[in-house]
Amino acid sequence: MSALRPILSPVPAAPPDTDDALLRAFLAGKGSAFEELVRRYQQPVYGLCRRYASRPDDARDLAQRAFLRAFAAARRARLTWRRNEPFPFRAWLFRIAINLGKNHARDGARWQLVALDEGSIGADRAASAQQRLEREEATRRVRGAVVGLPRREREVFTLRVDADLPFADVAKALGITENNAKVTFHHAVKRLQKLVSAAEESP
Amino acid sequence: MSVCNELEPLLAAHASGDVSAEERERVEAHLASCASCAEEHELLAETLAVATLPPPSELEVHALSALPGQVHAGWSVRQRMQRTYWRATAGAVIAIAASLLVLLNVGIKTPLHLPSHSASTDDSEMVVEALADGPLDSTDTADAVDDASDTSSDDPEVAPNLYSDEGDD
Repeated sequence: MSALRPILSPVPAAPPDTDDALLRAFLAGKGSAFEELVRRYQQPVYGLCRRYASRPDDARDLAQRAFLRAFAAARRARLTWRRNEPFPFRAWLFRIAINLGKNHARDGARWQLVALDEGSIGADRAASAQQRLEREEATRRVRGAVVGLPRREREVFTLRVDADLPFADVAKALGITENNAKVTFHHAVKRLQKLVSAAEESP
Repeated sequence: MSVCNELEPLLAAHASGDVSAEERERVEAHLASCASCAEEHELLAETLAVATLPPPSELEVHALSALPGQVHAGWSVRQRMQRTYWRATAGAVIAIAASLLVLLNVGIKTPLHLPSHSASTDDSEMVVEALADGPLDSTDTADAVDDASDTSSDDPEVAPNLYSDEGDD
């Protein structure tokens, strides 16, 4: 019976691999580690890319390019990065996604928001078509205005809202303090609020 | 600094739903007693709601599930392209290096065609020639040395033919 005990006893779940462990496994040629890293961050990266893309296909393409660039950067950096420090893959990935998205919007790929959420559409049914169009236009302008925020405010806002990261992770990704991230986020929302007010006041 | 000023920077973070327990307690206690900050908080929350994108559609979520495989495939293609590029580059570098060696070889040998030096043509030069012509053979080398000595002693203008095909005959 004693020989069976190790088999019958509950096996504690193995802790998930760290990004660094997965990255090292990928660089050693393990394909599953590659896909695990993509799976781990595909939602926040795709969320960031949606802000800058006009169509879901474009957002997915941007996300794919962000991953490829981050992996290529990690492979180049492995020779120079100090062995006892983990490679900041996550921070690199998010920064690359934001920069790619911004370049995509800047290079004439005119973004527009594809659809409003169903709740707002439902609420608008009772309103006149003219009012609905005006509201949609105002919403589109405010959502689009995020892309035009000053760089740091845009980074903090999109990481918090689009990538749905907590402020602690936003701060790590940008190399700032958590308090700084919260204050910058406040400035970003205040700036957008002025746009909302202006849109409501305009005829 | 008033409580309003102190807590204002936290209002948007609170509206977004990510503040520490201690911050949440302070903000909510203040909002309950300060109409001005409560109104500001409401405006910020409305702005956030307007500026937030609608959640991804089912189609987007479904398409996203294929992303790991697509990125992996993209990486493999990229790797193949890079290998092809490096092979082509290495081939070009080797070809250029070989051409330079040939040119240098000719450049070094040219002064040897002068009458005073042609007689001192040594075996190593002949070995290079023999290597270019085919498998190294001791009789070929010997013949080449003889040919070189003969031609250079008679007519210096003929010496460059040592490096032409005529020398093989």
